[in-house]
Amino acid sequence: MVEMEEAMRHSACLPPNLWQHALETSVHVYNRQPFRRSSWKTPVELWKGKAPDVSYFRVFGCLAYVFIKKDQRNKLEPKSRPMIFLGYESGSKVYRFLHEGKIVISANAVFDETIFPRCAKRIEAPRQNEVSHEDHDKEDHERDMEVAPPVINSESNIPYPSTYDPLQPSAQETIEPPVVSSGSKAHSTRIPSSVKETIIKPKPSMENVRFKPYLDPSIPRHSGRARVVPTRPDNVYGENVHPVEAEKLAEAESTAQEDPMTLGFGTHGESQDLVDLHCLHHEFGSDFLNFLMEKAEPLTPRIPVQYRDILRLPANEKKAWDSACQDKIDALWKRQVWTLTNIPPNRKPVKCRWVFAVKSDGHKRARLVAKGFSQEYRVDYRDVFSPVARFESVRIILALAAQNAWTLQALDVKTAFLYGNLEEEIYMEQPEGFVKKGRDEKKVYRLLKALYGLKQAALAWNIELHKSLQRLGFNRVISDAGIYVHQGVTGNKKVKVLLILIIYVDDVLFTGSDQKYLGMMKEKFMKVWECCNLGAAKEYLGMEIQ
Amino acid sequence: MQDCNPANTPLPEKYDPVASTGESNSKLHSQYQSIIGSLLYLMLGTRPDIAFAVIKMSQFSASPTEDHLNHAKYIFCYLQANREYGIEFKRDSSLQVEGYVNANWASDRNDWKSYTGFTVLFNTSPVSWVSRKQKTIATSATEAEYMALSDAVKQICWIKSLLEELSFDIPPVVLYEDNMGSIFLAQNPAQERRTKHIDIRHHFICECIQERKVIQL
Repeated sequence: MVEMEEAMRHSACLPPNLWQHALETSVHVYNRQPFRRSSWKTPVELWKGKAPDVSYFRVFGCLAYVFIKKDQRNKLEPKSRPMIFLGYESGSKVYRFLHEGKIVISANAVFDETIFPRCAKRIEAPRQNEVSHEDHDKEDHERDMEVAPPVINSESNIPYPSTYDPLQPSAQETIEPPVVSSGSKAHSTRIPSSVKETIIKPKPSMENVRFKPYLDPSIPRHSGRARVVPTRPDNVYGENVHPVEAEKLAEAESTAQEDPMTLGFGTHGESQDLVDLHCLHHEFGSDFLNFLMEKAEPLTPRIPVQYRDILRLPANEKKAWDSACQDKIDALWKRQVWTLTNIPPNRKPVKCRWVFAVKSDGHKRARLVAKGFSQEYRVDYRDVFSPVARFESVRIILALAAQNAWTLQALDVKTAFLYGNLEEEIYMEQPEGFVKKGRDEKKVYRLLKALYGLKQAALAWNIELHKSLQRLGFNRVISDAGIYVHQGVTGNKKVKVLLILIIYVDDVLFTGSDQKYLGMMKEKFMKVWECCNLGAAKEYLGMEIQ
Repeated sequence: MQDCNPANTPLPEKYDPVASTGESNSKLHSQYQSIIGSLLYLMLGTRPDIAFAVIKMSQFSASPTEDHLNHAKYIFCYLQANREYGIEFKRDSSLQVEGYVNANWASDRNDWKSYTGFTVLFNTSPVSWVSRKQKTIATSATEAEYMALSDAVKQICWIKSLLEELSFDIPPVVLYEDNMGSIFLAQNPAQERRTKHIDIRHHFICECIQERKVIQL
């Protein structure tokens, strides 16, 4: 244990007074590596019954750019500071860093595992097959140690100036961007705190197991620390990354040329997975691989999550989904939701995606939703708040209806959001799989109506509904923007009639003192909006009405 | 949870949850939040009886413990015992609104804040209910009750204006309060050593009473 600590500390050129952190890290790592005497299980696995996730492991003492919180920095200061990685905080996925003699704890950091700031020189990325000659059976080496380069490197001992700043390399030696294929050393780390990570179970621990030395240099070794993508069933955006970060990531990729730190992005994916499988096959044979495949949970059996999933389906299913998508596109054209135009310069189109569902009758349905998070404030949207009725008002009106024995009639407006007219000019890219060929390829859709997913969709619909209700003679109540009243007269005797309307997005509840009059107004309303007539209300907002 | 043992109360007697100090695991976290979320919707919809329990337990949704989770599940056991509870609106009763206010002074062991609770009945059926932790610390039971009273009065003013807009005029609302000190304070806007620090916004009650919007008992 102490040897491990010493080796790690010296390789990172850290002073002896940091022994405690090095020791803690080595214990942390030791508990997460497999042993022969425990039939290749890790101590943590034996204790908790679950294989540990080592995807967050980083090389001890390496350079890290730690994100500084907004309230701890000036507006003009950089958003992150270079620090030295000092280990893991137990019990959480938070890292420990050294910065100007102080210990800093943070979860948000970008690592460069090839740079050891205290070593005052850059160390070349070690090649994997070099290390793998070592005898791993005698002593299970921690992977960080393998990656950790030797302390003295005879080839490149040009010392950096004492004020070594990794962001501004000195003129003698320029920092080359790390080559991704050689094991992608530059990792980016993001820990979605609220997102439950699904970990492909046997993988992390098996990465560490090396029964035989791996000697084939033709297949690049997978670093074993590929980011685990949070795949939640309700991640409707279906991105490989956390949806909010998709945008940032795209920007980061575009700047990757200038900044070597960001090159780690986008290295995962199918090809990497295939390489992974190859490696596993090579190392453990097909029996083990088959065993893994059996254990692995099947990925979303029937309903595709993303459009590209369709392309992998068998031909008949693919055809059915394709026609569902085509139906949707046709419907959107029919409803005049958009027009195809050229995008004006300095405008960014909003992204969109397909959402697939199988209805209870087995009918396949595709929906096109805009990615509202890719909208820009003041450009693509302003106000987004849409009023709905308060629950108290609903109950008061139900109480009034009960007291006066009024009838309750419920309606559900079909595809309500598609009625909302957009005030803003919004451009959306062409949906995946339905990009026009030829000269229209670069064109975008200018949205005229609110599509599901747009930030202002609910508001745009509410404005339209409000206008039409005013035309029908309903007045919005000041106390509650989701309640409308209409006072009219009916019949020969000019009896006063009171009608009350409750609006909850696209659920409408009619009630009033005269049933005939109410029916008439309902007819009028249904002429304006295509509705699903639910008749006498049995249920409203999940509340049963008896 | 479908066939859990029915319980008679939303939370066990004398249960006093304590905020956790450590961090909780994410699985527990998301499970707890989804439980609280569904309970909250139920509470907002038709179940005033679980309001206090749900609000109390929802305070720990940031870092729940196993104990909190078990007690949140206990609420389900209570619901199991009376699945069919709902709100009944009666026909042909006279139009009247009344409210019941209470406060629980310094009942929160974690920060010594008080709880507000009130129900507004419309024709003897509950239409609006609140159970919430007060924002400021009350130094006396009277003060806590007085703050609860001001919350209730605000809600009643809103209900009154809504009904007026729907062309229903209601007689002055009777508000039931069990603390003599706060009743006195509401009717006699006097400044006294022990009440002078009470925020002006709470003296809004006096105005409403003088305008005969609300009658206090």
